[in-house]
Amino acid sequence: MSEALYFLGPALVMCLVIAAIHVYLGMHVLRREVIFVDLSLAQLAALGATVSTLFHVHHGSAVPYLFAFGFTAVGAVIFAFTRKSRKQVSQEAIIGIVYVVASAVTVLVLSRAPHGAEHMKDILVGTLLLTTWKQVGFVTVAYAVLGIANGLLARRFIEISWEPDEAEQKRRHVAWWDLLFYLLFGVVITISVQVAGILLVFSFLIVPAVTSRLFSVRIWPRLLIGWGIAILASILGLAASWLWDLPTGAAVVAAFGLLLAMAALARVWVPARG
Amino acid sequence: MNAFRVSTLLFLIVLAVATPALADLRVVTTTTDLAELVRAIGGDRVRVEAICQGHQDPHHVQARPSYMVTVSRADLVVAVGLELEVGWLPALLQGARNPRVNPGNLGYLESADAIEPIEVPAGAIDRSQGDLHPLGNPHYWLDPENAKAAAMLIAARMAELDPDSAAYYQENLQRFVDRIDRAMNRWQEAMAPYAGTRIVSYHRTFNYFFDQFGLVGSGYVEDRPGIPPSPAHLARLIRMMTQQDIPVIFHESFYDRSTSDMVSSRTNARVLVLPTSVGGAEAATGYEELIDVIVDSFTQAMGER
Repeated sequence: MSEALYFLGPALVMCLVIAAIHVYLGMHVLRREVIFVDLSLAQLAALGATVSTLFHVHHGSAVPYLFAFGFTAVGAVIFAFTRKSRKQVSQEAIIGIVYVVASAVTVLVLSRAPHGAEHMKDILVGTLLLTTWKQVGFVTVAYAVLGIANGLLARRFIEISWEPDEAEQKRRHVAWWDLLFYLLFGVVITISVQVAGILLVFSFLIVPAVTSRLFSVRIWPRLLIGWGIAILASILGLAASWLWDLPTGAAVVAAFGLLLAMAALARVWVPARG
Repeated sequence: MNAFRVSTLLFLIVLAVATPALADLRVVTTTTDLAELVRAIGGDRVRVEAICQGHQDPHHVQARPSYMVTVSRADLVVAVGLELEVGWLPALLQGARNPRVNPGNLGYLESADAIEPIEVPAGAIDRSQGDLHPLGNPHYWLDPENAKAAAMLIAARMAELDPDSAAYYQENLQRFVDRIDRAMNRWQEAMAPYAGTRIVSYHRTFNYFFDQFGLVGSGYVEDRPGIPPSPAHLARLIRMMTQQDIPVIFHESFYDRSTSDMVSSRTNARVLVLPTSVGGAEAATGYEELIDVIVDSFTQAMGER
């Protein structure tokens, strides 16, 4: 057991740090009904990092992150300014197109790079097992800063996520606030995708938000339930990975799925209050 | 006797029983071929495990918790080197946090130090040329002379780490070298009629084998290493193979064979799916057997032409 903690310690703490901010942001994403926006932005981040490898970047530099964020910023601009055009074209369609095209272009870029197939797999499931304490430190500091930024702006962001029409009426320049939201969101995703991969980042964002929605509509209870789910899924996934020698990232994603299924069953048996 | 004394006694018994096991040298290798060499030298005084299995691509291995644990407990890690494992081994060593086996220490050995690499690129390399193995072709172990050289290097390092068994290792090494020398006679005899035959292979794994046994590597199905081949390259390859009447394509068993099959269908060449490491085919149970499988498959295919 202590051996497991010794080896999986960094991975576990990384999961907790990622969970802290992603559970909150996931609630926004769910409310805005842009579920796939994080897949889109995550794929754009992955594409940016992949493109950066075409240039001579040496391991550990910040250049992949800068490229990744540059690409997600483009996505942020597209999503912020197409929100209102929902009457003509559903935003979901736009998000889906961005995701699919970004994925395909990633494949094209990787077709020119050695071992492209393995890189595709790493983009999907990440390299959680080999996380180092140094990486954990970097992500913790970055997310602390981003968390504070989100906290300060929470009121405004919640307003435009939950009641955008009222905010429009109050002349709140919703599109610009949307852009700011997506840019901050993009930075968060850029960082987590490098470590955890697209599938796991999506799971941290959406599954706790969905699960908590089954039990409450108020923000603080949902945050607490969501954090609980994320922590539990991380522990279960890492434990399964250890006991059965499974790839770590994929195991945590599977654990999320299992917990959601169990929560849904529980909801069926235990009727909602009021 | 109270509980404390019982448990102390049990502990001492366990320690006494475990102590001989503790004396074993624990070795982790990246490939099964290296594991075979270590086993041949170490006999029953060594416990060896290979991370990459015989049917897997050694360029890329998915990290698992058990690998980290195994490496953390190892006294010696033996890698091929020449950047074959650069995609996964450094990260794994870092995660295992075993200072004994960090590069630069006695517990880390790159067996390619024992041999003279071929295909060392000159001039600037960039990634557009593919995964060119910038220090030279790392797949040296399919030349039995290189396997002997690597075995000698490994034996020397094992003797350094475990001086009490140095004489034992030396004995085993000599026995292994003699076995390979005897096998070389029959391999050279079997391959002699086909010296000068031009061969196409999928990747560059067999080039040391070609050099040793007089075959001529004449092109690759893979255009640039590690990158799926483009249609233009395949068209050129098929034309060349037809002109020069290339008889066989050596295809490494862990790569998808559909491209090689397609090329074979447009030419007179036969696809030979071959193991590149011990365990890569059912019959390739040891190093000698591995070379036997390659030699026999080739001579049989040529005989049937």
